[in-house]
Amino acid sequence: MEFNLRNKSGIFMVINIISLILLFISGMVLVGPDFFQYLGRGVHYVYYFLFNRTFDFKTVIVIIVSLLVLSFVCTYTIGIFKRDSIRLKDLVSPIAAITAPYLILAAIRGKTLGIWNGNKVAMILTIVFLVIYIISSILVLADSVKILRQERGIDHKGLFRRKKKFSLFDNTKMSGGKRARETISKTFIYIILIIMSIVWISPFVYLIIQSFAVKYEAGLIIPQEWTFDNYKALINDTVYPFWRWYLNTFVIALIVSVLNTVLTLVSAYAFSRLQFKTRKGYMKLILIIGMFPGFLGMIVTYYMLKQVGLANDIPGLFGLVLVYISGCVMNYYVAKGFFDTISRSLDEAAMIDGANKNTIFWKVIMPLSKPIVVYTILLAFTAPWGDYMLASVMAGGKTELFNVAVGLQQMLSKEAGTKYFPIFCAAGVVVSIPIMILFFLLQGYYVEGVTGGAVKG
Amino acid sequence: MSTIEYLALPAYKRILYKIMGFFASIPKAIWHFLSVTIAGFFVKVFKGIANYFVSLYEFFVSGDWKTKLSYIVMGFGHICRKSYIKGFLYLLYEIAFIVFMIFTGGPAIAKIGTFGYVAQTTYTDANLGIEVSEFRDDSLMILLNFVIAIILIGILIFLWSTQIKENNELENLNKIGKSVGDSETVSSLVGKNFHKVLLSFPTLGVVMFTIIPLFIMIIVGFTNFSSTYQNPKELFDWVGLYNFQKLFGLTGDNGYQFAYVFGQILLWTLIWAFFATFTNYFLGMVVALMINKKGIKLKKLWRTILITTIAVPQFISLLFLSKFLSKDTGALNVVLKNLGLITENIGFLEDALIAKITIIVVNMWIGIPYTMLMCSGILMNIPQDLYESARIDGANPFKMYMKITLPYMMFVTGPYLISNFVGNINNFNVIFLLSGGNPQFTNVKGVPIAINAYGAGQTDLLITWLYKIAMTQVSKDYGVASVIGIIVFIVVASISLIFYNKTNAVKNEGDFQ
Repeated sequence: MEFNLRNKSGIFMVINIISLILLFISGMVLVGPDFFQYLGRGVHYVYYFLFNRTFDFKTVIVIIVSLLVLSFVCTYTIGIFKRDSIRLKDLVSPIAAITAPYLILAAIRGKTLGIWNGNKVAMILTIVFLVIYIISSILVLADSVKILRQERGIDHKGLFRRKKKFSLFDNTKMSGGKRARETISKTFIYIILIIMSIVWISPFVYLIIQSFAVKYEAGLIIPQEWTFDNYKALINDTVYPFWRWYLNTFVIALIVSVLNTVLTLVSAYAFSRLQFKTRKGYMKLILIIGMFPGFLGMIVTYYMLKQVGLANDIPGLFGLVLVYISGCVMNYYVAKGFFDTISRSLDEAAMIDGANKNTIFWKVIMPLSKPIVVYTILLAFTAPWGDYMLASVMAGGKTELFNVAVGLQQMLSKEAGTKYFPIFCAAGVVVSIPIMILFFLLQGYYVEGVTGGAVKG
Repeated sequence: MSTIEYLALPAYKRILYKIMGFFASIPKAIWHFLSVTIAGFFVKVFKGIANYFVSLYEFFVSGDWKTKLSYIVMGFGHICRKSYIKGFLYLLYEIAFIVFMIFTGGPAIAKIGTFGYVAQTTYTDANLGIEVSEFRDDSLMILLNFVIAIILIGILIFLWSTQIKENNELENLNKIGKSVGDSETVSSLVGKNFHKVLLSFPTLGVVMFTIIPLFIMIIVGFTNFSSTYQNPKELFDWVGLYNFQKLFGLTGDNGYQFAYVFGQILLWTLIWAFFATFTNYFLGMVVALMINKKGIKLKKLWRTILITTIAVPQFISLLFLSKFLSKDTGALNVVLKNLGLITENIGFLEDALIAKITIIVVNMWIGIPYTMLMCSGILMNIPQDLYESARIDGANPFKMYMKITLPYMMFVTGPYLISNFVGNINNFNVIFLLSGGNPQFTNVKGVPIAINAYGAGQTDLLITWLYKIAMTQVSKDYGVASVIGIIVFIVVASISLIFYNKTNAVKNEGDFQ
């Protein structure tokens, strides 16, 4: 039996409205006669949640206006005003989109204030209706978009594109026993993968949740009270100037990523393409030097830089940059492996056309090496964020010269570590976001570099 | 044992035989290394040097007066033969060298025997009538200048002999009526000598910030440089092999404690490197195989979830986990307790053995996604017809893994495994940010014994111990720190040597082009 699209949307809408009514009823049972009063105060809760302050009359107006603007934006983006006629169900979706998160926040706040009575059935029903309400709202929204797109003549099948029926176990082509075996092994793999995903993701979820906690309590995965103060403390805290560390690291990472990339690629090119007598000896020397722990020389480097005034002060950061880029010739392996795979006949053809080696490098090799250039930049940019050893030496114990790694380690290691834990979590989120965005954007290049690097050693 | 006998053995005995063979071949390999590789190397080097100087002598005898004068005034021949840029650069270096040696290098070489004579003198100032202290010798600067002087002498010898050779060539060219001027010198910078242009900056960086400091630190290993001798209060002095003796427990009454701590840390470093490398490698490969299995859906989702761990900076996850796992305030203990799985808090990072296991497990959590990424790329390159024919021959998946996948992977990623092993020996972040090297060593009665061992803990690696000695300890015994660094080098170098010779993939690496 095939649903008409309009019918389907209508069904969702009916479910949506019914669940909202049921939600009100169960909510009334749960909270008692003061329900509507509390519902009204939900705005208060939202405001409290966002800004952690008590509110006055002015803020109510601000919130109402902003909600109206939000609903207007929401409606406009869906494009209802561009249609011939406005139907009831088209209004359901934007209203639902606004009310659903509001209801969730109000529910959480209500729970923490203890205005729920002990009626468990009502509580479960409330949660169930809330979930149904949210899901049906999303479906209505999706359907509106779909209809709109069809009306505009965009050949697109809605938010959820479905080319064919999706199934985790696609064993239809197999026969009897084999199918059973495949299904069992796949189930097994799926279970392992799901468990792994949970193990791998849950610390980060916990980190994000804790960054909103008022204080760290070991037993509570979800904190009692929520606040944005931890993020504010990153800028305000006088003991640990996080923004300074962030700025230090960011500037260093920017400079290092540019200089390091140029120098690394240049030396990799020299080792890969230019024939000179000391080439193999030089590469062996680098191999041997690389076997010494890099930290060993760092102690002396610190004293050396101190002699010329490049330590213990703002110039100390430039000293750190110098140290980072000084070792770049040691990282030539991956890039050299990549250059080795570019055909030499290109060089020769360019040479016949009268290009010198400098021109070949910039005009022939570089345009072909985009993946490795991006990979080198990515590595060079992320390395200073995670470096602890060298940065801690160069800072010489001065708080304002730390990078994020050293600073956050100091923050947690002291006696007050537990007190600062939520702030640490907020800092972790702030540090991770730019790197994560960069990483996911350039993921393909990264994978290519990792694989290539492993094969070439 | 003949081949037939070997093939007749059951599988486990074959493996045992191979392992025995490996260990039995170590002394031979070491002997071969010492006698053929190293001795041969020295013979070759000395022969080369001798031949080189003989040729320089011949040039002197056969050359004209310009060439002869170039033996004393570097670049003189070049300037006379219209190669001005090169000639003046050679001359400039010679002058700079002489100036440096007179004012800094010479005194440093003279004082290196005692690292200076007087650190600090106090005298009564005649005009002011108060005691004034004057700083004279700074041992570290003397050492630094000494090393720089030695390197400059090496460069001088190299440049000196090069310019003589070039002089000879120029002279020969002049005889047949040709000459090499400045325009050729400049144009060779983007042609024949392009590598000098490209590598000059990186080389300068490596020499200044890696090689010179390394030399100095190796020399420091034979001195008693520590916080008490820090400039400019006092000088430090040569102590011979005292630091080595200290590390191996040959000094003082409680010396053996030091040796015990050192032995434990060395052992744990090796165990850690082994487990950290191979658990990651094999489990990562298994995960890659699972995700890439034909018919498994949502491949991108699984991969993205795992990659998140790489995208979040490592130190954040590590610091976070160190709090998450801690005994008294950690969330994991509370959760386990609430679930009723445990009754007493587990010291995930406080109990020595459990801490070691925890560290390896956490390292798996961090490392598996990385190996997974790397392996999935390579696994796709395995020719599918190998599996096809194996399936026709009736091989089960496990056998196919053991006979096709694993050998292929080992062949391709052999060098990666070695470098990863070495990287793990020097893996500072995981240990230092997670456990900080704790718990401390204790004797039978539970009393800390690490008083003499510069704060070493039971999960410390050599590298974190080195860091602690140089940074967080008050005494800052750089001598011992340097000796630990040298030992790390010896361990890493010997492991690399043994295994690089065993893997096929490395042998032709340089000649890949």
